Amino acid sequence: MASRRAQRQYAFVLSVLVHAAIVVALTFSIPLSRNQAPAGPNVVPIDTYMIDTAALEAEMARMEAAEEAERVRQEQEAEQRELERIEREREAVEREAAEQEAERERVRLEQEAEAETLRLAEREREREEAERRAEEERLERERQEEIARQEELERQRQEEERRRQEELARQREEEERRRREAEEAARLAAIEADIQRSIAAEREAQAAQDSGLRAQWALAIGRKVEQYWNRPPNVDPNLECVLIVAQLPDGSVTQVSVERCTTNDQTIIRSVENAVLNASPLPQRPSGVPFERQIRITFTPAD
Amino acid sequence: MNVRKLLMVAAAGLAIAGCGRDTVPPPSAGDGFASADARGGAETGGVNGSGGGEFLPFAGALPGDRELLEDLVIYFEFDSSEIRSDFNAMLAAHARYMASDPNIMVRLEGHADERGSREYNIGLGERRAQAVRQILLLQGVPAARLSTISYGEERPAAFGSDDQSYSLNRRVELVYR
Amino acid sequence: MLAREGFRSRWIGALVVSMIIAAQASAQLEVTVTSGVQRPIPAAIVPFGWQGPGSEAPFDVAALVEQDLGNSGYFDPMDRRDMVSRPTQATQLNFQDWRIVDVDIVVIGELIQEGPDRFTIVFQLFDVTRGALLTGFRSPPATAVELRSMSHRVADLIYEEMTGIRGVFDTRIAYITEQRTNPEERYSLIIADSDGENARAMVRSPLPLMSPAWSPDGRQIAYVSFEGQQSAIYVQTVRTGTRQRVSMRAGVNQAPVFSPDGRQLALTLSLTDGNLDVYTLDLSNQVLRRITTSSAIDTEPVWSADGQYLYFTSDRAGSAQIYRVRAEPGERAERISFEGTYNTRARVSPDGERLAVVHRSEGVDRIAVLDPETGFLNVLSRGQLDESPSFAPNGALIIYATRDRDQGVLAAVSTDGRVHQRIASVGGDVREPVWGPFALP
Repeated sequence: MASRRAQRQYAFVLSVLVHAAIVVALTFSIPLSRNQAPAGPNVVPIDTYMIDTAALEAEMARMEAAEEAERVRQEQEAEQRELERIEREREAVEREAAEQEAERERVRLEQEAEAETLRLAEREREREEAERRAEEERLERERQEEIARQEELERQRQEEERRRQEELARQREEEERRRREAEEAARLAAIEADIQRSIAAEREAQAAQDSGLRAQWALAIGRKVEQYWNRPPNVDPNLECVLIVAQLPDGSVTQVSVERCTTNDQTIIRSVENAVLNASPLPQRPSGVPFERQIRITFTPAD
Repeated sequence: MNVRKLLMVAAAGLAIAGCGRDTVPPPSAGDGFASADARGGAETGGVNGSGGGEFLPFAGALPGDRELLEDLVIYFEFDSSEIRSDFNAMLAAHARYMASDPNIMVRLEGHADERGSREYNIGLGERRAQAVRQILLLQGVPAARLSTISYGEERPAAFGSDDQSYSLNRRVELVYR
Repeated sequence: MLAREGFRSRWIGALVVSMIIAAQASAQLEVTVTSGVQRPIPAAIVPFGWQGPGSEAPFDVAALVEQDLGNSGYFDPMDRRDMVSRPTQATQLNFQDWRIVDVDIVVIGELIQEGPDRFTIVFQLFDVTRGALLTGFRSPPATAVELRSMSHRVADLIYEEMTGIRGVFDTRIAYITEQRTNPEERYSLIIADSDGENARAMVRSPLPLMSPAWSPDGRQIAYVSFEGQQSAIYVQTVRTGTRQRVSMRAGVNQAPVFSPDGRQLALTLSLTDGNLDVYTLDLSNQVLRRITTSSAIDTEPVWSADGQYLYFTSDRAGSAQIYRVRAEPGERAERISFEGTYNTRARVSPDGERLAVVHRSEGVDRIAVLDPETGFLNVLSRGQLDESPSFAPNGALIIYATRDRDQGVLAAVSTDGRVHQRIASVGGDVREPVWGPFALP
């Protein structure tokens, strides 16, 4: 550090000295060169030969003029070049300045554009956000409405279902009741069928005992009377009327009387009596079967 | 049948034309404003009865109503009293027309096709007339200007026992009087 | 329940029979008849004798009796031109003449003029099979115009003697006609004899008439008229034609029916809200009571035979069906019809045990009988668009309206479904027949 400052001081002193020397030199040298200068053109180291002085001088003058013109031209050229250089430099500087200015403008515009883009993006984001929120709210509202609607539908459905179930239950009950009744009817019908079968069996046994001919006779009488029984419209399906019928050997009915009957409706009683009377003469006994003057006819609808 | 319908439409057109000529009051102080006065007085007990009465809403007819007003029949589906959407414009036009003139009275005549018992069809016709009445009330027609009657299946527009006749008979007719 | 007890008694009966058979098997031939035939009774209604001035009787009693019995479906009257003899008194009757033409019964009689416009009918009904008198009557005196009605009563007595069911030939029906060609008198309320004869208009109107209903004594008819473009219910005295308006309330005034005691009407009103409900109206004091309160169509009320309940039509469950409710305000209605698309317009049988209804199934409307206790339903008619059933006062027939070539006509069917008949009526479209009560004694 110290040495560097010393060096700097030394350099300064040296520089002063050098400059002083130059100044001295310049001071004394200028008159010298001025003295020498006019002699310059006159003293031309040439070979000595004999020449026309005037021509020489003219030539000399011409040459000097040419030289002078050349010098002036060169000076002008140099000057021109200098001017051109300066101009170029100025232009360069200006161009550079313009370029820098343009660059700055570009940068500024870029920055502005960027800022605008950001601002727009922000606004867009905000708008989207608002929209999203609105959409969410709408969806939520719709969802709530849908839930309410679904609940209402569900409620209606349940109500409907409840009614349907009640109706079904009622129908099932009704069906069940009908089924039970049908079963009961079938059961009773089965019992009755059993009885009928046993009656038939007894008849058959009887018929067998009578060689079957007596039973055939009874069936033939029954079939004929059925064709003559014109049933009135108000016959109770549970009717049972037993008639005692007197006949002659040729089958002619001579007397009909009611042994017993489940109704005392004269229309019905007359209808069964007339059935026998209209069926007269009844089918005759097969040969080999003893004649029976009095027979018993039972009317009992099977439908 | 078609002739009949045409005649009906024509008669309807005449009826409306007649109504328009005879009963539309001048737009100056007419019955509407008078009744507004009366109503205002009744409601306020005369407290602010010094003014010229309140302005009442006025829904005038719209361009194109003339054609709609020529339709006087609303048709229905089987066993239904629901008003089909294609009759909305026509009913709206009639509501506007009725609103334009407080003297217009309309009778809504409900009808049914011949299927179903006669008394039940009276119920169905009444339901249909009431459905039309409801629409007109909602569009601002005062109840006092509407009356309903159900003829059930007793006054058919078409006499056949086929689907086309049935669809013509399930209807409500607007009768201006 | 009834059927089950029936089965039981029959079962017991069968047991008894089998025991008898067992006891007397060898003693007596046993014959059992389990079926019969159902055919019209062959009958001879011999032209009645005439005791009066001139050779020609003023009225052919036998012809009308023959027609009545024939139309009923239960008799097969022989053509009088085929008769080998024409007795008018019992002393002239030879049963053999009738046995050979296979008739079961013979009716003979006389029309006797006893004074100016004063006639009497005497007749006897004989059983040809056994050659015996079944019944015989002498009528009260009648004027010439009453002879038609009196002849119907002869037919009624013969019908009852042979079928066990009271005849309805001497009853009346009411119905509505529409004549489209006569706009001034397009709708008429007509009263006619049960055979459609003797029709006369009670009311004529250019606007619809509907829902005629007889009072229980047959003296009055209630109906709906739309005269003046407003439905209203009137009660009109048949004999004098004078009438009284009993309901012209706002909205619908429909479907009047008399209670069994004749003191009240059941009816349908909509009042101002446009919704049809069933009401009762006391005719002596005009007290109106609302019976149903549903938002559905409740209409077509009809009283149960004891007057305690109302049956009515309602679409409260979607389709129109029959319901029953106590005839008091605030009672709960009970549905009683379940089969088919719908069941409407119930009418109660005279014994109160069955309902005639319009039953829709597979797109056709037919008359059916419904047992309100079991819900059992039996379709009787055969048309496509049958409506407005009404029981005859004997409960054995139902009159109804049907369609023949797009024209309303009247028909009747027996409640056992055995007999179908068409009833003649005056021209035009005929509908809503209602059978009146038995004639006053």
